[in-house]
Amino acid sequence: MSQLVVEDLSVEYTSMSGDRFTACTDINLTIESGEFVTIIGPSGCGKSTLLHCLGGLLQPSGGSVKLGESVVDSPDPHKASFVFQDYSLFPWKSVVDNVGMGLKFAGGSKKEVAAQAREKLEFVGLTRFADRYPRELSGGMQQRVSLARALALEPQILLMDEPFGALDEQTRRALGEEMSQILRAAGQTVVLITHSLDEAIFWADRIVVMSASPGRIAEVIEVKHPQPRDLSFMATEEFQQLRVHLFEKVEFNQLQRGPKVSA
Amino acid sequence: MKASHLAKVWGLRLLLFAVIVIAWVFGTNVGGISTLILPKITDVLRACVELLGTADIWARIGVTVLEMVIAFLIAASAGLVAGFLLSRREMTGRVGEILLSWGYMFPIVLLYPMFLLWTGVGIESKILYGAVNGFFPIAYNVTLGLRNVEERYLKVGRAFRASPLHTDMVIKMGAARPMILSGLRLGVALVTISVVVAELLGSTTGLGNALQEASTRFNAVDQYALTILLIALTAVLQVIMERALRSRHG
Repeated sequence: MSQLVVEDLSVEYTSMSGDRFTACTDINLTIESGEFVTIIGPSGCGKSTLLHCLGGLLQPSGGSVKLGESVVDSPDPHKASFVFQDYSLFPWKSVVDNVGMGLKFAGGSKKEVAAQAREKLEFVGLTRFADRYPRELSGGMQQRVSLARALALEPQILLMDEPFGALDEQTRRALGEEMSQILRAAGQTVVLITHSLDEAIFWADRIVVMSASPGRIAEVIEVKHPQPRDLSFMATEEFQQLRVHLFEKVEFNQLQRGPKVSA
Repeated sequence: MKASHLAKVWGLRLLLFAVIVIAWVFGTNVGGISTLILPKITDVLRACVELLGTADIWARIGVTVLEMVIAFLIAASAGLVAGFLLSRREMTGRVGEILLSWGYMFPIVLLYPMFLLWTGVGIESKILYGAVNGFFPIAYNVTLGLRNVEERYLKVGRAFRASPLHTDMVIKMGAARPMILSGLRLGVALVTISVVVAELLGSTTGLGNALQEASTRFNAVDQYALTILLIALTAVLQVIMERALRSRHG
């Protein structure tokens, strides 16, 4: 296992009208093997852009992303695997086929793919639903399928882009707790984007706080509370203090900038 | 659907059918409609049975079915290949979509005399004409389906490093499946109809030809009987293909 090192990363876009637009800049970050890092920040701070760069889905305009010795310049699901917000399962494929999709693309034989996919389905507790189709599953279950699909390639790093964004509060909390335990137990390196202050604190070894226009890292906060954590952590003084701090950093700043707030 | 609801739907369908039959019987007996215009239903049914007892009619059914099947196979394979190739590039896709939708709307029957000119009065002209009619909706739907695959599915392909072949065969074909199947179903309907029309307009054999002959002989009974057989035949073929091509997942 190796470190993920981001150096002086910046991403610029050219808009349709030809204007240059900086999505994020001056990003320097090192993620250790087995670490759980959450990224939080206001809309438009380039969180997703950064995550896409970490997995090679997007080429930075400047700087570099390195995993160990090698530069990440194209997606490699064995190294870094994605879980997307909208699950993005293939509705025309069964659950087990969806889980095996990455393995199939990697050229695995039919038998291997099926066996490994079933194993990963068991890991996320969905063995019973192997032969169903995604639309027969709830949103929370679909996200677990999507997680199993990413884990099937045994990636060094798991990149999760607001994986619970589309779920209701209760499902979100229950699934989040379960997933974080699963990933902890596996010693998985995880980078997770979230909008939720609670999620950002609850799981993180470190929280990366980003600010907008242009997107840059405002602060990196270490969460010292021992792992694994349970819901009682949320009632501690430490948690509350972090929450207030994050609120000021993220939400309050956004309110001040927000175009809808008039003087 | 609930059983009682289903029973009601079928009950009403049978009722409609019964009303037509009763109106027919009433019209030819009490109503005094000339049997030159509308023969008695009993005569027509007897003619149907008699026709089905002859070797000639089975040979004709064979010809018509053969024409339909070959025309559909040509339309389907040409439509799939053309749609696939046109959807490869943005430019060809945009140009192709418009041309194919024109071809779909154009009354191709206007060109039928030319089909006779090119391929003669035999089964070749029926097959070609049927295939051309079926080609357009199939190729159009394939192009449209393959060009409108949701970006998020393609993103999964990139993130999990799908090969170009996998991207085409697993992701794009999978996502476009419902569109492609509905194109094929439209194709079946158009092929069966246009083969019959082609036989009516100029042919030497087939069911449509028999109908056309009966019409020139002013044999109203046979004309009605053959029409019923043609309706039954196209309906059976369309239902079979409709079942086979139904999409299970949206």
